[in-house]
Amino acid sequence: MNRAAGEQPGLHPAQDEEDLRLVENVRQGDRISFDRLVLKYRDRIVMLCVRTLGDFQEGEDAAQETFVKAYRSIGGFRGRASFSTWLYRIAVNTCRNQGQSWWNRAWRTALHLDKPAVDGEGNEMQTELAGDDPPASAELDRKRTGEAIRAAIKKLPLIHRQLIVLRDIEGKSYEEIEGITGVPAGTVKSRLARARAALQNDLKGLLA
Amino acid sequence: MNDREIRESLHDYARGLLGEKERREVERALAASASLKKELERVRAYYGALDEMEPVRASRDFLEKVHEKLQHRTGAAGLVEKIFFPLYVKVPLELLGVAATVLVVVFLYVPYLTQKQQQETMRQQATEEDVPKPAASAPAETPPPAAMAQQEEKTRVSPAKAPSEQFAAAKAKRSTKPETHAQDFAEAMPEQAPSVAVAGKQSAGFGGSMADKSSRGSAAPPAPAGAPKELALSEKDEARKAAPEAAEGEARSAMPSRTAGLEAEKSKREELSARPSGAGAAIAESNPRQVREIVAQYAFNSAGEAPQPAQYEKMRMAEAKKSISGNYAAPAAAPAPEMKADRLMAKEDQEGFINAVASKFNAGVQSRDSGDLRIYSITIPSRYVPSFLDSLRAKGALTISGYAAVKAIADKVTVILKTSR
Repeated sequence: MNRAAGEQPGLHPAQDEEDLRLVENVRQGDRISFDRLVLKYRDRIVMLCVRTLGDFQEGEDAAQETFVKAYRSIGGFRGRASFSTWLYRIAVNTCRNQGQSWWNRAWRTALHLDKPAVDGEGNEMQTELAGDDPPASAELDRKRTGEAIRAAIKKLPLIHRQLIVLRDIEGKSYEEIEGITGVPAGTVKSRLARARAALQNDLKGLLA
Repeated sequence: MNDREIRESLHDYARGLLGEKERREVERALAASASLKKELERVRAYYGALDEMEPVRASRDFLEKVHEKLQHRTGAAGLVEKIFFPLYVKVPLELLGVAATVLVVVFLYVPYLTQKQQQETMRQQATEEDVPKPAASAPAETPPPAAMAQQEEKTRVSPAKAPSEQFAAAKAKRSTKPETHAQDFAEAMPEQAPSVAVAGKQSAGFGGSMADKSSRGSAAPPAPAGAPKELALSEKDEARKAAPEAAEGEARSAMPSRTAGLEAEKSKREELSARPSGAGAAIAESNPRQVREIVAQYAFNSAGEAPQPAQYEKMRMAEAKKSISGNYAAPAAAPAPEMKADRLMAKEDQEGFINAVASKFNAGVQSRDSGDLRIYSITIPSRYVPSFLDSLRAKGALTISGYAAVKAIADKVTVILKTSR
């Protein structure tokens, strides 16, 4: 996670310039430039989608779909916002559509027999019994904490989830969030306050 | 900053995102308030918990999957791809689906349609059987009144002549010029005369053989179109006809020799046989098969019973053989089938009875006297012929000397019925 003061992805001028150059190459049919953009942003977009949707497979599918949409509509990118903001906006909308789709809700409950089951972090779940060596207590606590937070975030409304991920996990500025979600900064703040209160209330036992 | 703003700023303070001025304000407030310190602890625990979450990373084949999705076409091409690709999986499944649909249609829908059709047919049949009862309600099968009147007018002998005079005239005509009943019929109904192929005789297979011969034209030459009164009767028929007539009594025996007349007619027909076409052939060609079948199936045999199909076939073959060999000789005259009833009807009763039965079958009847016989020309839908004849025979009060189907147009047949007066 990138939470250092002043470090806001997508706003760094050098990064923006590099992104714009790659975008221009993609427009001219350079697939390698597109691959570079994918490799650069894939983890962030996957994280956003997985945290928002609460499921690794679904989140990764949404992330892939985000890049496909970006490739097909890259001609419409005007450069008013940074490429990362534009890409995040596509990801947020894709997750919103996917999260509201009944098909995906039904699919979410189905077991993917052809793929190994993964937890919310994308780790393959162990289907066999655990080995002889029990995990360390600290590691177990960490996993339990992470699982509890994921569950608590999943209980929030979709827009609150997105705000929590964008601000508290990704560390985006309010202006960026406004650019990504299209929600005014003031509204973002108030919603974020409500989302945090709900989350802290849900995690009361864990945070005590 | 007020208390609410300071509390909201705790999140950014905990993450070090506040500017210098805001950070100092928050720190002053924290120093003054224990509850704010507690709140800050909770906020830090919250972010600590978020930090505990494992980072999410894209799978190794993420880029390949993006490439795969990019290769998928959109629009109509994409739809075709979705429906048919991969071919080896989707096409067999889709064919299976089509086959299953066809089977469902064949096994469920077709029997349903067939059943519906049968019901429709049965309903139509029921309607048709109901129709003849009220005779006036079947205008399609009943000749129009004007036509009937015209036909009656033609049939009727001049009103000036009394029936006895008509009879005498006919008898005189027959005495000078041996003609058949069919010729009489032709005179009475000239519009039907060219179509007369066979006329009354009662032996088994009579109608069939006649129709056969008239259509073949070799053994029995057809009458020419220009000579409507020249009938397409064969010598065999005449010979058959001659036998019962010879046995009928003094009045008939007083007539000039029938055999001589037949001989004359035979030679006349031989002359005509060289002509390429004739009225009889034309009629027989109109629907010879139907005529033959109807007559053969329903004509009386010598025992007064309809011949069995095997008998009919045998007779037909014999006739054909004779025709081919060219040695056609008149067979021995068959005895007339006398359907004796316990009590014969009077002429008026007979006519009324036949009219009544005919009206039930939607048939038009014209009648006239011919010597000691009464000839009825009955035009009736072919499908009613068996029932009609059965109805006449069931009464048993008629002596039917013979009958033949003479004309078949569309589904109607004109039947000449001869009864003893």
